[in-house]
Amino acid sequence: MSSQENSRSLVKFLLMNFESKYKEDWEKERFSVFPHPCWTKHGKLDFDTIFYWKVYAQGYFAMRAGPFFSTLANQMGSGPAMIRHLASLSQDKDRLLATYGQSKVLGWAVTASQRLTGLYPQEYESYIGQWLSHCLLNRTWDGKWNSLVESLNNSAGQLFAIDDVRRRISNINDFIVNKFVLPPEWHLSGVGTEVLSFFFRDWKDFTGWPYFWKHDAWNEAFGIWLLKP
Amino acid sequence: MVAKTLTFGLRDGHKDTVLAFLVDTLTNDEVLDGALAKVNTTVYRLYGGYRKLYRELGEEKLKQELSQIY
Repeated sequence: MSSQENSRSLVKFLLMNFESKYKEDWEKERFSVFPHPCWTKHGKLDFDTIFYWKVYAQGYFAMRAGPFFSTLANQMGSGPAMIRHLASLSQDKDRLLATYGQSKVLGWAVTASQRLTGLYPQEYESYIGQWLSHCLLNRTWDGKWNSLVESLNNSAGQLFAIDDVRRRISNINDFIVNKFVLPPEWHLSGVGTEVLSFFFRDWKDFTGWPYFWKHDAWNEAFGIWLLKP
Repeated sequence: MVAKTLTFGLRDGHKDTVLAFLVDTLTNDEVLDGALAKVNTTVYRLYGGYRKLYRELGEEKLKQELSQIY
């Protein structure tokens, strides 16, 4: 078989495995804001809780992030209430940040929560909705989910109007970095491209979701394997 | 100007290798149909399963298990 045939054969194997074994699991990872809150594998979750679950699913905390934040949000009453609670843990922040592993990730979550509650001292339906709106348009969100989704899709839509798939993937990655990661006025602690890729990949309302790849140590092993002669 | 990607927490080594391989191998329609996310999920589960077994069983036991399969 040629190298191209081998590659097709591998991809077909992976896609067939997805259809037969993992499709249902992945559907449970995905979310929408229509309706809001949304049913997920961790129960009925609001947008802020889902964001924390996805972006702080890092390292050894990855498997526990969903249950941890859904439980905490449930105890506090909502995702925004959870963010306010995390923001209040300032006495624990330095201790958490000085450690490694899941405690450090929680330290980032506390730092980001302090930033969000500082940016938006008023109580909103969603801190992350406000944050996304400011990152995208430098504008206060009107609280309507359809306008937030429309803003996101309109901002990113022009990036998909080219034939070259490789450039589309590269453009959307640059878009995410330039809008949500790099601007110091909006940057949230612990939030980088890889974790935002996980969030956007699974957000069904976002038309750009097919162009995201959530990279981590396990997918890195796949990359190393591909490089082997 | 296009900004350079920063990495927070997770490594992104070999991501370009994986994406280049997939873009070269998948059709445009497959990408639009979510093939990146599908392969992403499958690779995660396959390698995740292997690692879990490795942790739980240890290398020798895992080799024995695998030798019974293949």
